[in-house]
Amino acid sequence: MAELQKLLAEKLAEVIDETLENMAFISTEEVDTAQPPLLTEDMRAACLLTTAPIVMEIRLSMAEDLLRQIVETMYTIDAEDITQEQIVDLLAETLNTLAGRLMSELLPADQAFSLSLPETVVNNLNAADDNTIFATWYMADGLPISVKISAATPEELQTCLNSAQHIH
Amino acid sequence: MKRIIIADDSGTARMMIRRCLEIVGFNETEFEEAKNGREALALMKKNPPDLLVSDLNMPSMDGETLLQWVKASPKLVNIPVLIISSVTNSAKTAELKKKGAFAVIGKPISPALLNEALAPLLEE
Repeated sequence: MAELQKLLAEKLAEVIDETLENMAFISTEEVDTAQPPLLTEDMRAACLLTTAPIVMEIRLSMAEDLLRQIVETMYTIDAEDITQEQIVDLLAETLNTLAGRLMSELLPADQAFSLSLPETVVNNLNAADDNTIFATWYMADGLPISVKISAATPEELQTCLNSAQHIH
Repeated sequence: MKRIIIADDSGTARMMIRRCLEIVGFNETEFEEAKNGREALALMKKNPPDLLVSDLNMPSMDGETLLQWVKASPKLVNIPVLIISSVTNSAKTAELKKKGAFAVIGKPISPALLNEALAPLLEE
């Protein structure tokens, strides 16, 4: 399990940085998970399922101020003109992109995979979840981002990655 | 003037794709946007574009089904289809190219990736 977490941490850090850099020229920094940031900002959350070859839920939470900042830059519009629809859509598209990149990094190139459409969810960062196999924090422009990965059967993920020869 | 249809359920993605297309040389171009494959197909039937750019994972009609409809239609079969999706790898790319996709790019996109994929069209 420790090797699985190390692999997820490494790949996720790469793909989240690449995704936000490409989408909004924003760099991310990983936060020491033993000292998660004190949340003072409103967070928005979205989740999606990887439906093949393994079922996992990936949940992305981002500070609303960070989403607003990115929308403002991407659309080159004034802060007061930003709509909730743009904020939610940006969050969903960021999650969709990073989930796809993560699966491409984790699985062999000839392994097909599929993702569900992202859904916005009520943010519940402190809720205990027995199925969480990995949770981490990043900071971008001083604002928090959280990624949580859950699987009903973590062993299945481990087996899948073993067969991809990432973990021995 | 060239005409391009962009099909993606995300407004953010459609805007990014359009910006990147303009950067690589499609600046004198008319863009039309669709939120799913069904909307894109309706736009194409009404007025066939010079290029279709489509996501795969969309509600109502996904990009793979849209590609199959386009390639099965005598009126639309010659329109190049560029797939831009988060659900790509080399196996998926090969499968989509076999089904008639002109090129396949993984998200996140960049002008450089688009330029490379669309080089044959830009040279025309």
